[in-house]
Amino acid sequence: MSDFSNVLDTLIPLVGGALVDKAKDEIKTLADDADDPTKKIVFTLIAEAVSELGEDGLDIAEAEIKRLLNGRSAELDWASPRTASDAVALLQNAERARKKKAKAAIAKAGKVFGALGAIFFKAAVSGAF
Amino acid sequence: MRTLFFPLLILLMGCGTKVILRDTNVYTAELDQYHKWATVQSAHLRTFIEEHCACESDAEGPQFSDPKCEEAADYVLTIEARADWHKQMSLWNAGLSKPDQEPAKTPPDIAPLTCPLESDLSDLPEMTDEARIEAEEAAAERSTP
Repeated sequence: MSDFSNVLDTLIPLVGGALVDKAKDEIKTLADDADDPTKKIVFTLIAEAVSELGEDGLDIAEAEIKRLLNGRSAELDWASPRTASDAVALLQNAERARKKKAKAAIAKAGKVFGALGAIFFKAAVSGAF
Repeated sequence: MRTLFFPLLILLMGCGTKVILRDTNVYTAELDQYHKWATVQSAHLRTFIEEHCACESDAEGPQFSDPKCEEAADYVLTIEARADWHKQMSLWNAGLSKPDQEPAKTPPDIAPLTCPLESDLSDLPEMTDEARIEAEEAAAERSTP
């Protein structure tokens, strides 16, 4: 997230009129070089916003990407269907990961409660006799 | 104190992301309808593009003469490649799929934009990678003038 903000701080002064194309190319290079899928999508979304909306694209992209990364609904009208699909896939996979973690935690809690139950049962049985 | 703590904890647990409870049958019916709308429209759009969009033989890139055709073709390829995966993920995340129906971690690749459009391979039955490559090569050969 901080990488993304740094890139925006560097690029915002660069974007303006004739420099839009240069900024678009630079962001596209960042997207191509990104090793992490989230960074790749963020940079691709920014590049497409600048390409579609010019210098206003950066501000709009920043606001909508922040919404997206916070799990809120975002308007990605400027994005190509490929990039929009990648962004939704990222959200869906994040939800799947959260659910798996929650399931594992519930299973673990179940085992702990099971063990506790067995101890209480044993104690109750031994107390009865 | 303890009697207050647990109800408060339960209330606070609801303060994160909004969670929606839906009727599973209605939700599945909606999802099916949106999926069908997208895929049927995409099939019609493909036919329309194939019949009405011209290619520029000497151009670089996607090579559609009309940029509107290029945009439409990109939607068709994305829907053909991804609609099923997104739907399966929606069902999986809602807990409406069987345990052996978990979708792959990465969504399927979207075919590159070409003019004329590549054949739609998404409806073909499961193929080995080798068979898929052969089918794709055959389709590419067919589309080469």
